Amino acid sequence: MSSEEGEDRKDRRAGQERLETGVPRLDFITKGGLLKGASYAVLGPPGSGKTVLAHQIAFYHVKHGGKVLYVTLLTESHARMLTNLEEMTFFDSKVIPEKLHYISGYRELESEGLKGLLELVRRAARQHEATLLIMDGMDAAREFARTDLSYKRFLQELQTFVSIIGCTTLLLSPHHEGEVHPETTAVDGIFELSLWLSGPRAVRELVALKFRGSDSLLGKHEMEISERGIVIHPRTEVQFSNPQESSREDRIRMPFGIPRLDESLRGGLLSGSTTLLLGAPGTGKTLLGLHFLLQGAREGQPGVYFGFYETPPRLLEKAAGVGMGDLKKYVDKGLIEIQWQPPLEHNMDSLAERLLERIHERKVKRLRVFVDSVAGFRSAAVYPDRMPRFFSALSHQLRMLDVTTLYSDETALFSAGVETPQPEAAAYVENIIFLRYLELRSQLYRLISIMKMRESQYDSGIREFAISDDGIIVADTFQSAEAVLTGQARLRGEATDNVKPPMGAPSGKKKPKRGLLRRRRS
Amino acid sequence: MKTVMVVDDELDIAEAVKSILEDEGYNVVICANGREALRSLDGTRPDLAIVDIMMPVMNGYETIKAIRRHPEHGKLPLLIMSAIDPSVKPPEFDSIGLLKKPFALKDLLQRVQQLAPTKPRETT
Repeated sequence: MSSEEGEDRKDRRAGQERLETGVPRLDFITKGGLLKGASYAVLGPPGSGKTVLAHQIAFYHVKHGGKVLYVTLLTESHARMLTNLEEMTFFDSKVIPEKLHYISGYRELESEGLKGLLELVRRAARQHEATLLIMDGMDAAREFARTDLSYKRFLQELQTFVSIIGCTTLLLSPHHEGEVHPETTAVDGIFELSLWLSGPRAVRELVALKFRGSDSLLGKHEMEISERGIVIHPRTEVQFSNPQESSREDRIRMPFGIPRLDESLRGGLLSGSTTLLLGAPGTGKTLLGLHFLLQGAREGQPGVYFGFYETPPRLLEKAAGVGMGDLKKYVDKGLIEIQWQPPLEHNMDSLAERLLERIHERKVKRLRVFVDSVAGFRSAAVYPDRMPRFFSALSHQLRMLDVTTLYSDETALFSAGVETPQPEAAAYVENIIFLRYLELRSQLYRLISIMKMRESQYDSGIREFAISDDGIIVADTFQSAEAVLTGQARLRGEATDNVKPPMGAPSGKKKPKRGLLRRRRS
Repeated sequence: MKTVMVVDDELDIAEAVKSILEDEGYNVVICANGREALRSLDGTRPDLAIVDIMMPVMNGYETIKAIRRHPEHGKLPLLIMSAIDPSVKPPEFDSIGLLKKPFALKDLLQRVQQLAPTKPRETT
């Protein structure tokens, strides 16, 4: 092989270099960016974000030393198009026209057809030394083609040319349901943008349908458009589809700081494990989770509260009311972080990204996380059937980061059985702690039990607990009712007159201290 | 103006090369196979022939051998432009350079400039 031929091989490999798009997580989906010199179809209905996506990529490319030729085949003027983009944070008027050059190919197309358009693009691309070519409005080119074959031929000639000059190409076309685009067979990759309604909510998605020459995360990914441009949220379960085994061997116990509960857990939850706090509304899941974070902080372990319902001041106030006043101290010190998700329309994957990114940013060991609650994610799910796979992937990722996680989730207020909103949860969490009410002789009792604890012994006894001024107090095994977990409590024969009131309930003249009564009064 | 003959059955590549070389000041003639190229030699009198290997009617190797035997154009500068791996190119063609498809613009221009030098294109 001659040296020149060796150079050829080297350059051919260089031809597989990537063009980073600068669109958050698009390069993650394509495992590194668009292939240099390749061509991509960007399809989507009007308003789906094709032009924004193309410009976001264009401005990023220019910022990193590239040159862009933007060819419009539309009747809309460049000035009007740019006016619509001026509010975007990535927009930079200074690079126009030197580095981002606009030409209209419509007149050439009208007078000379596809051949004339091809020649115009060839000359302009070379003249401006374009490394990125964007052709916006390819439907016009298609309409001027006599046949699909001649249109494909035009595309093939265009692709061959741009490949030689090492110019990556985006072909933007409007797309309507069921429409077939001839370019989809010719291009190296296809990105379809969509905009649809899920109930009252507008859902934007990017579908990666084809990506030649590289592995990629094909399929639907939700996206958002803001003044910062497009942000893509790859499906969490696809992002972490090849989980690795956890490398952390020195696992420790993570107590709640509630003596009887910690005894039942043989010292606490195992670090790096995932636990579901399952219970009816008001049973004390949030307080139990806060106990967990607070105990961690007392031991010097950082914590994150990732919640949807209680604002940070209200959460602190609630904690202070039941003897957890030092929670604020640890929040102020930054050892415990409250990440409150305001009641907006969320995207399930972006919530997971937010949580994981924050964990990565903090770079701390033995982190405790309390997600309050799973229902917050569930309400953000456009495709509810994704939930089990989503949570399985998220949980595994948290495990990999050595995070000890609590999820809270709600059951019905009163039911004859354990009806979890997500039965599959048992498969992806190591531990389940069940909180519930028991109605007995017109009294409400709170019960706590450990339903599952993987990789550890545990006490499966059902215990009564109360929310007191000193936090949660867990009592001895509850013995006055049977079959409590089915909610069908029956009194034991002659013992009917000896039923004790719930913990925290008034007894005699002694001033009650337990939170249950205090709560009732308020 | 120098003339480059592009012998390739893949018209999109031939057209792309033609467009690029015309911009560089060359006259470019496209032939779809070896037989067509041999027939055109006398009429076009090229300064360089860029020859694909895998072509119908007469392949690139046969075309090159036929050109080398040609009484008038036997010394015509040649360049192979093909997707074949350089290692499978027969030794008898060692003296002829290979531009491996897909190729980069600078390689094309560099090879052509070496084999058929012309003045740099004037820019306006």
